[in-house]
Amino acid sequence: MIRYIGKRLLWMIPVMLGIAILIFSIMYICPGDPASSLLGPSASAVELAAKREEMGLNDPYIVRLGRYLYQTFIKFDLGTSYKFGTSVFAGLMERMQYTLVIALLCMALQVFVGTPLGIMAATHHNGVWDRVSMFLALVGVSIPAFWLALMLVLIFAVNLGWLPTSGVSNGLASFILPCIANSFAGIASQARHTRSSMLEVIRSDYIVTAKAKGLSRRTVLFKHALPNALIPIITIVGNGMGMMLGGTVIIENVFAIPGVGRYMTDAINSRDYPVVMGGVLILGLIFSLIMLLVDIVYAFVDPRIKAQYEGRKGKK
Amino acid sequence: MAMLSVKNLTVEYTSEGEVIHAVNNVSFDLEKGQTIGLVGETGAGKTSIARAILRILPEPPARVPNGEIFFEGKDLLKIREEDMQKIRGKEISMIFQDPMTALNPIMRVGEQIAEVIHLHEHCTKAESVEEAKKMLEMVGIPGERYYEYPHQFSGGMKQRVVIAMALACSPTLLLADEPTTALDVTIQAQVLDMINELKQKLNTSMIMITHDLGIVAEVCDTVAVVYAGEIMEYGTKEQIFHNPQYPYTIGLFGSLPDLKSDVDRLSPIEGLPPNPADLPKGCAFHPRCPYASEECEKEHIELKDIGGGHLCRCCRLREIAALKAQEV
Amino acid sequence: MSTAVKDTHAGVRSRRQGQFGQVMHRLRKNKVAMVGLVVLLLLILMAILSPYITPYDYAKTSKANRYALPSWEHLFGCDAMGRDILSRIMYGARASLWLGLMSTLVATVVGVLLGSLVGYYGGKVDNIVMRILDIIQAIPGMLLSIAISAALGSGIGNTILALSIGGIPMTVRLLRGSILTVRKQEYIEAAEKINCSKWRVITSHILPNSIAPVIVSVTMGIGNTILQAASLSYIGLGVQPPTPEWGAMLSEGKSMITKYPHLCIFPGLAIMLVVLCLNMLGDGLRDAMDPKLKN
Repeated sequence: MIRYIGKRLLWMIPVMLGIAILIFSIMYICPGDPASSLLGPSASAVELAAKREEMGLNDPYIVRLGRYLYQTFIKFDLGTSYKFGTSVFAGLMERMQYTLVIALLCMALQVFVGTPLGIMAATHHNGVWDRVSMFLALVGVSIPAFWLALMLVLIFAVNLGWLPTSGVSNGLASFILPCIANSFAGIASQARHTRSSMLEVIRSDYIVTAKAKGLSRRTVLFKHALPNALIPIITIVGNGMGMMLGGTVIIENVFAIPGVGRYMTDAINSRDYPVVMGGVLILGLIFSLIMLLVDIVYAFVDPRIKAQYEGRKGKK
Repeated sequence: MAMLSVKNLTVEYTSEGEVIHAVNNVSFDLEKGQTIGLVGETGAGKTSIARAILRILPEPPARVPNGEIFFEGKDLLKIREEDMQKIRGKEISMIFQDPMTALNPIMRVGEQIAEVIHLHEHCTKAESVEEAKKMLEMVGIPGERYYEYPHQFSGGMKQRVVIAMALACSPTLLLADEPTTALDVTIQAQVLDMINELKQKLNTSMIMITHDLGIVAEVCDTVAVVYAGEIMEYGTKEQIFHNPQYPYTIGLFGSLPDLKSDVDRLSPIEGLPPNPADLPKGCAFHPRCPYASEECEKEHIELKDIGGGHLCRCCRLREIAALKAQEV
Repeated sequence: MSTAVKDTHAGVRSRRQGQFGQVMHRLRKNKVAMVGLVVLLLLILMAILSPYITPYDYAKTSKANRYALPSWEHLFGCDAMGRDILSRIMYGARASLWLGLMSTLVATVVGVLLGSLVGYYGGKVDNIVMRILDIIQAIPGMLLSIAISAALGSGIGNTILALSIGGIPMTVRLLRGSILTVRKQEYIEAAEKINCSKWRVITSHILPNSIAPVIVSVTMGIGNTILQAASLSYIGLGVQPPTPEWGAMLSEGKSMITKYPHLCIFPGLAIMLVVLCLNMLGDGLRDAMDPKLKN
């Protein structure tokens, strides 16, 4: 198991390198001139040229890529923001708290609201509860998060005045609407997946075996069906985390939350490439770690997968 | 009254708007310590009969519109679910057909046996663990493999585990649903011997569901031949084996290889089993029956005693006997 | 013998009808899916015919109608420049649907090609492609689309490219997993043993048997892509005003939402309706292809 985790951690090095190359290349072909957006429209051609030379923008692609990779992976330096002149890493860390709070709260909502909803729908299969909750879930996965956010603001902040419209100055209350908007689709999709996974498991032979033992319906459901049904759900949770991290970018814009997502979209608009690249790298790293965690959790709930990781063959 | 008495049991499934008649008015009795064999093709409704007795049919789509199942005087179809739970696994237990899927993949093998013991025997967890280990050893698996998972077991071993689970609480009635179909021939014999031995030791009654007449010959006392959800012929093993009367039963024996007689080809039963959503009128077997006549299609035929408790659902027995006499 | 054939006729017919026929038959019986399909077809029709059937010119501005509230003349009201919102939504369906369909199509074609390649050949090819996909997938999808969209610039074509790249890894993975399962089946070995060419084994044996999950995910994927496209437009990437596109309309309307909520409500509802229909259809397709999942 430890060897497996070690291997996976080692594998993350080339993945991070790959992300760096990919995002650097994407930013390289980005139109627009960082020098001019830095100096403003009033800068003269000479000034611009000097600035470009100073920023190393005139070097060929491969030189710039090499320099970027060297800086990032050897000196562990994500560079300096063109716009703010401050360390990108510090800038990201300062804003990370908001993004992580939202992403984690959303994850919690997805798991702790979506899963029970799905279980309830499955156990009341074809009943009223099942139909109503599944219709809501279907609507839930069809709503654009940012639009839901706007509507929530309209109702709960503007009309009812219960919650702040934007910003982070109101403590936990500031995060309620962003989290609901950002996790709504996640909750819905979690409920849908839990339900179908549960229904599939309920039909399996070993559930009939469990029933034939004389176990109560409750025990069959919660001791035998649920743990099996949750195994495929773990992947959904992992992917959900990716969605939440990506989703916060949009949601932070709607609610004017000074998180990493906002930092990055601003950076894209002002051609502040070091910030964009640094942000993608850090979020990619977090996401990769979460996916690793997901795989480790798998091993703990499913002995078959654990055996696979440990390279031990089943005694057949 | 017999220990188990099934009366007019009917099971239907609803699928995509069609009603599938899986079991139609099946009745039979079973005495203590006896074994009845339910013989028939795949899809004849044998498994549905067993599941209906244990009340573990998938509902919906399955439904039991009528019938009574008296087990030690109680109608299992009428008692409360909680009372049924006390019977399942304790008084009636079942060995399932496919050992590969019958065990919970993420639960330790031994725990799955201990669970049923702990549930019914009112003992401590530790005692149930000890008991489960004993059960494992009884079916020939070392007790220390208690802590392993199903994927670490071979098919034959899994089936032994399923059997150990079924026998763990010394049930009065054992439902064995093709317990050897998924196994290698050599393992089949071992498993059958084991079931037989354990059955005698515990004086358990058994319903053996199979399509293998060899197994019937080995373990059963009485035999019910099931076709299209109906019992077509019923009798003691001797009656059925030495004097099969129903054309389908005769066909079954005709499709067996026989080492003694020298035939070039086996004679299989022509045609396919009927669509259970649209059963033929009259005798369900008539479209495939070599002896069928118009009268077979007319109306539903009753099960008649043809001597010594040997029952048969055929209206042309006399004609068939005459034809056979000619052939010889 | 002949009567026996007659009695099993129903079974034989349903087998002869073929997998596709059975799927369509089950789909037709699914009311929710059919509602989704019909509404979707109507919306597509509306998008195609929009130049002829919109009540007003979608681009015509009018000072008098600025921020006009919904009325009988302008059912959904008018926007900041007095343009009729209903007409803009009808016309905007073109961009939104086109974006969703094309991005998913591109992602699917590339994904299916790559997926069948790696799924069938396995080994080195599989390793290399999957590792590259690992990298792409390590970046949260929305983030990747944002970055690519920023790099390529706005416009429908570029947005399609930006959205489809993010969709490729999922299709490849899905198909690869499905193919790996199918590949182990004995009939594939049988086809190989009787010297079917590799191409034939892939196209006539493996793909038809492993494509079902892809078809379902494509249907749902279109909906997702439409949502993503709208998000991109909303933050100022992707399709940009004055092109009528639902996300872009929301982006235009958001600053005035507290005063004139109708600017945002209707385009959002339009997005929701399309995606909902696609998901209804997708659910129905999934159930139709895998009937055992339904009951």
